[in-house]
Amino acid sequence: MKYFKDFLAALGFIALFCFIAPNRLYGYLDAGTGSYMVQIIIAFAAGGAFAIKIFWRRIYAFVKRTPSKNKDEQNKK
Amino acid sequence: MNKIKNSFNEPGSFRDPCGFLFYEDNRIYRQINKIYKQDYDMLMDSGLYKALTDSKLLVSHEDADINGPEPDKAYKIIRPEEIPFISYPYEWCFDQLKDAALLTFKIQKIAMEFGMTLKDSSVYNIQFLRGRPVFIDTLSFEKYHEGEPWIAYRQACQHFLAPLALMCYSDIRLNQLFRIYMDGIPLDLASTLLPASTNFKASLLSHIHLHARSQKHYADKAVDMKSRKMSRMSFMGLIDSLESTIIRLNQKIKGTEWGDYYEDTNYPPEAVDHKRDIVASFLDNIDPGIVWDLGANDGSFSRIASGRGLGTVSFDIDPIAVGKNYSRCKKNNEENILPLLLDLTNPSPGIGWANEERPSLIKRGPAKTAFALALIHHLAISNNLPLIKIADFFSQICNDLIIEFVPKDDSQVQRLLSTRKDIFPDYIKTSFERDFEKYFKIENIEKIKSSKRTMYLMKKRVRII
Repeated sequence: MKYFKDFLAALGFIALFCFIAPNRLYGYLDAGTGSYMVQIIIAFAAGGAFAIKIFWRRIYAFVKRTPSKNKDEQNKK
Repeated sequence: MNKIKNSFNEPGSFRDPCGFLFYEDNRIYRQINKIYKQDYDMLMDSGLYKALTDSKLLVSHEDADINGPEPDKAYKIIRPEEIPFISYPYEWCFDQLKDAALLTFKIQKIAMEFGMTLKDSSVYNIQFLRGRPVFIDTLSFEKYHEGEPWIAYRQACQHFLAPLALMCYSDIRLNQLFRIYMDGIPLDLASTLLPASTNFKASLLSHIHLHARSQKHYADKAVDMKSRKMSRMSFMGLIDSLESTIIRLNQKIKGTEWGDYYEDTNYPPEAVDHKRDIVASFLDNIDPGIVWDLGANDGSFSRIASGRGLGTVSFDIDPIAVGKNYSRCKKNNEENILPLLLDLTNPSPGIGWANEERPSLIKRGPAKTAFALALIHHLAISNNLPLIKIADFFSQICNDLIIEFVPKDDSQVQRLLSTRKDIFPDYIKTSFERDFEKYFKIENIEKIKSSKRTMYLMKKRVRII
């Protein structure tokens, strides 16, 4: 399952690379340009994944906190 | 202000226009140039410097009341905390390089909280101090401007991700590529050397394989970079992606020649105990200073020195043994020992511009004391090194030498000779003593109980320290 997810993510990156790669180009020699372009694409995908990760962490923290908070309140009573 | 005497620039510190390192009277200083004033003030005033130094992630410094070598450009001179022994990524085991990478990403994430970012992610910004990695380049921080991509991304891939992935998926020895490629492993090379299966791992596909293809594709083209912005969330996502990729990389442990040496020795426990006692008593009779343990394996004997509070560099040729040594240091929070990878028959050379940017092993010495325990037979018999040459080399790297002579009738030497012709008529105790006496004065000799081996304490004839 893990490998299937990795495979799907890999395909996603290739598709993203094909669609987001810019058309407007000028000419000079620089290895940094390729790093810049691939970074924009990866960061676009990774940023989305990071946002979801933070969202789920907050939900998880909230759910985990709620019962113990209620328990604390009950103990105080 | 005091006037500078005996000042010279650090040969490896010239690429950054924001400042440079220099020495005065054997102490290291950093000149911060005026062009870095804004970023330096932000580092200090924002609380980032305090946050990083309080948690021992960044090397601390204090202001120095001296003139720099280039006072016209200088904004400030600082004196950073000294690193007792400078080491390089081609001398680190897998976990040391991984910890260096994770430290860089941790610092980047903390810097973001204070509105700053790392402008470079060079592996050479990391050194080991008191048993843990520490960031040493105070000039690497700059103000974060929302929308801008991470300028250090390519370097992070070349200096950390690519070598770690190669060590993990191809061969543990591939960090030696750092000796050839100063600016990290070229991604097209990493992409070629990594197994095809890594194309199915999304993180390695994107950060290495597609990255390499993108570099090639855009090599002769330019892009209107100003029109493309990267949100803060994307920026954080990129760092998180690199960090989590590296966290998932782990050294694949396979048995090596030396990894289980101490379970495969020929001497009984009482001989080992006696050898420990001899090393300890020799150390107690000299002023040992910094100790280099050559051929230290997992550092068992290095700990006789480090346990006495002596700064000890524990060298071995085997990456698995060095890895074990480093794990032990981390587990026991040992502060005085630095395990490093070194092939003594081909020690780290001077590399970089003019062969001076990263000095050779010899230039980083000499140590006050060196151990060469159960080593001489490997140098003389396995590597055909004449005893006189070994003595000469040792005299260049230390002042006091604690050395063990392993005779031909020892079963370990017999094992080395079992598959080759004995072409070593001079490998006898009298020749050993004669050759070493040309460079050292023999101060003490002790035979190890229940073994055929002998321990020597020697002092270099012409003092170098």
